[in-house]
Amino acid sequence: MKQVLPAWLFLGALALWGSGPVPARGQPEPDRPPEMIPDASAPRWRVDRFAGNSTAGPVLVQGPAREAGGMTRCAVAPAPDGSVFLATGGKWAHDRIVRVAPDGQLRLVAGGGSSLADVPAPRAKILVATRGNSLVYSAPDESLYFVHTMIPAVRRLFKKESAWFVETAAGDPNRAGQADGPAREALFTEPMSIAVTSTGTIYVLDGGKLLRKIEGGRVSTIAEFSGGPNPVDGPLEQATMAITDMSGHITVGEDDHTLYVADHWHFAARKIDLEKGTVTTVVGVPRDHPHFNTHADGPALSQASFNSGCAYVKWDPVHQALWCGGPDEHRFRWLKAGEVRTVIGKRGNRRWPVDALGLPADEVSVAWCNVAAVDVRGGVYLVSASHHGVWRAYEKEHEKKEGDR
Amino acid sequence: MTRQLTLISALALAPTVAPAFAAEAIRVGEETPLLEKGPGGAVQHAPHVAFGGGVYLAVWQEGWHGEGGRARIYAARVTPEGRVLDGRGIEVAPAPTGVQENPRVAFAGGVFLVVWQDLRSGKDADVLAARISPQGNVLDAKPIPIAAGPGTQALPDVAGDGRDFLVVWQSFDREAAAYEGLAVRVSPEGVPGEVVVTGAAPRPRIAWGEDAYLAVYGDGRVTSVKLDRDGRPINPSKCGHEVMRNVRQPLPSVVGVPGKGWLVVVHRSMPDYWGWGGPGGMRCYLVTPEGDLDASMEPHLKTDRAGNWDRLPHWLDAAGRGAATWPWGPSACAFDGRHAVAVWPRHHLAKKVMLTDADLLCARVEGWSPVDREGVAVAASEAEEQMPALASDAAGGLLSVYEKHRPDGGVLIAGRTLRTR
Repeated sequence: MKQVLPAWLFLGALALWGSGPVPARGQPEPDRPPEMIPDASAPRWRVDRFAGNSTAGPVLVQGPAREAGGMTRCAVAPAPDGSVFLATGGKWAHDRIVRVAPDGQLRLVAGGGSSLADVPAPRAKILVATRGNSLVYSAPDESLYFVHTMIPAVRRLFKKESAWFVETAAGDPNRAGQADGPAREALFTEPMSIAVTSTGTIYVLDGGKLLRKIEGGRVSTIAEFSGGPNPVDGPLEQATMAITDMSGHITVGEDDHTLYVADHWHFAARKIDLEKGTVTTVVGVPRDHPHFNTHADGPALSQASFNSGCAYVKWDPVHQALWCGGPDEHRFRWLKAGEVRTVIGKRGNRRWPVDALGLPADEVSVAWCNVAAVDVRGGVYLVSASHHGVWRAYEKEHEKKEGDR
Repeated sequence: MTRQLTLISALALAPTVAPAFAAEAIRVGEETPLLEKGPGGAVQHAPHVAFGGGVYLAVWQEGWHGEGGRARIYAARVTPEGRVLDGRGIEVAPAPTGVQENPRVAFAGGVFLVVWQDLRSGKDADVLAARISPQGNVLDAKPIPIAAGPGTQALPDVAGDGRDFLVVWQSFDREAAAYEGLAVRVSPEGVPGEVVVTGAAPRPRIAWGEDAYLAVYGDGRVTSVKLDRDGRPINPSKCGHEVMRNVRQPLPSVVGVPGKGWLVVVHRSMPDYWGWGGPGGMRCYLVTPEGDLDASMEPHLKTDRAGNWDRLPHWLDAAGRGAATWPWGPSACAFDGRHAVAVWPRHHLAKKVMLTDADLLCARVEGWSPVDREGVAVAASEAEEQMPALASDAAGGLLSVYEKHRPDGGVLIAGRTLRTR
C-alpha cells in the first residue's frame, strides 16, 4: 500500500489537472445532453431488500436474511443452486462469510478464527476485500474463492460432507512475492480482485498491475501492465492501466476469453481479449472531453464517463451487459450496444424506503454504491457504503414471482 | 505472552485527576483459561461475566455457531482470586437442535440470570434465560422464554437492581419491517413480567444506577434512555437522548457509578487512508442521574466533533496520524466500589488502515476522565485478545474475561483478575 497510494494520488491529481474546465453542477452547457439517460428497460426493474435491515444494527444476527444485522457493504457471490454467499463485517476487510439459503435463511459459514492455514472454517481467519470483486463462486468445484491485499494468496472455502473448510488454493498466505509455478509454490503480491470462468480457470488482479491465471494447479502471469496518465490500448504488453485496490477491478465477460477491468484512474472500463492478447477501452472519454470526470450516460466512447474514476465492472450474462460505475455514484448503469444507460436509481432522491420489497428502480438512491454480483436468473445484487445490507434488483420480465421468497 | 505484560501502571496523570490516586495502581493477575478442553473443540466466543454471592460467573458460547454448528451457552464460576471452580463447565440449557449465541449475565436477589439468543427453531432467534445459583446449580431445567414470538429476537442484555432483573433486547416487527427495543422485568424466581417497549435498539446495553436503569444503543450514533424497574422509559421527552453522533458500529458499554450517574465507553472512528474520519479514540461519557450528558464535558465534545487530532481529556486511548496502534471495538466497564474501570481493545495497524492483533488495556475512570492515562495492559500477547467483559466485587477486585486466539485458529475464553486497591 505504501507504494500504491502515492500512485493513486499522483494519477488522480493528474487526471483532475488534465481534465480542463468542467461546468459547475446544475449548470449544463446549453447543447449538453443530460448526464442521466434512462435505459429503456428501467421502468421494468424492481428492487427488493435481500439481506440486512436498516434498523438491525452492526452485530451479525443469523436467521431470516432480511432481519439480519451486521450487513456492511458486502461482497456477493451467488451459487447456481440459489444460495448466495456474502462476505461482510468490515470497512476495509470483511472478516466472515455467510450463506443465504434459497429459503432466505442466513447462516455464518466461515469467520471468527485466526488461522491462515488449511483449517475447518470456524478456525479460519477470513479477510475479503470490501470494494472489489473479491469473492467468487466456482461452479466446477463448488467452491468459493476470495482475496484481500493483506493476504498474498488465493484462498478457497468449500464444503466437505457437512462441514466447511478453508484452504489456500494458490500462493502462500504468509509470504508475498511474484513467482509462477505450482499453485502452492507460487507467490502473489497483493491480490485485489478475482474472477472465475465457467471451466474453473481463475484470474487474479495482483497488485494493480499483474494479471495472473490459476489453471490446472499452476499459476502463470498473463500480463504485467505499465502505468501512465493515459489508457493505452493494444497488445497486452503495451497496454497501460491505473488501478487502485479500492475498485471492482476484473470480471469475466461474455465468454471465458474475455475479461473486463475497472481501470480506475484512467476513468475507463477496459476489455481484455485473452485469445488475441489485446486490451480495448470500452467506456470512457479523453481527459480534455467536457464530460471527463462526470457521470454522464451516452455513447460509451464519446460521451459516457465516470466521476472520480471507474470503480467497478460486473458482467451480466443474462442481459448481456456490463454494469459499471464510479465510486461515488447514486445510481447503477450498464454498457449495452455501445451505450451507457442508467437502469436503477436516480440522483437527488436521498430518501427512499430502504427495507421495501418490489420498489420501482427509479426510487432507489444510494451513495457510494456498486453492483456486487449477478445471478443466473438475472438478479443484480446492489451494495452501498451508505446503508447496511444487500438489495436484489430484477427485471420483471425475467422473474415473475420474485418477492415471494 | 512475549510482549510486555504491565502489572503496574505507569501513571501519567492528567492535570484534572486528583493527586490522591497517583500512588495507586492496577494489578493484573495471571491468565487462566476457563475451559481448555470443552465440547466445542476450542471454538469459544462472546464471553460475559457478573459477580454475586462471593463468586464470579462467566458465560460464553461453546462451539461453532455457524452453519452446522452446535454452539451452547456454558458457564463457570471463578473465585475472587481467579481460580476456576467448574473445571468442566456448566452447560446452561442443553438442547437437541440449533445454536445458542451472545450470552449475558447479571446477579440479583441471590441468583445469576443468564440470557442468550437461541436458534433452536431453525427459523429465527428467540431470547431465553436460565438462573444459576452461586453454588453452580442451574435452577431452570427448561429455559425461561423471554421472547419467543415470531420475528427475530436477539442481542439481549441483562442487569440487576439488587432485587430483580431487567432484560432488554431487539425485536423484529415484521409488519413494520423494523427492529424495536423491548424489555421485561424478571424476578429472582424466574418469573417474567410484562414486556414493554423501550425504544432502545439496536444492540441495547443496560446498567443499573441508583434508582433507574440506563440503556445505551444505536448504530451510527450512541443514544441513551433511562428506564424504570419495569423497563418503561422514565422521561419520554428524553427518550433517545443522544450521547454521541457519527460513530461507526458504536458497540458501547455502560456501568452505573453511584452518585454520578453512568459511564458510557465507546470508540471513535475507524482508520482511513485520508484521515477524513479523524483520530482513533476510546472515549468516556458521563451521563448524569437525570439522564443528561455531564455539562462539564461540553467543551471537549465540541473539540471531539470537530475532528481534533489531539488526545482529549475524556479519552482512554488515542491514535493520531501515522499511529501504529488504534483503539477500536467492543469495550467493557464495571464499578470497583470507588471508580469505574474500563477494558478496551487496542489494535495494531497494518497497511495504515487494517486492524490486526488486538491487545486489551484497562484504566480507572474518575467522572469522565481516565486516572490511568497510559492504560494498563490486561492481555497483550502476540495472539489476538478481544471481546472483553468485566465484573467487579465492588471492593477493588475485578475479573476480566475475553477471547484469546490460539495459533491453530482456535479461540478460548480466558480470564484475569484485576485489583485496583
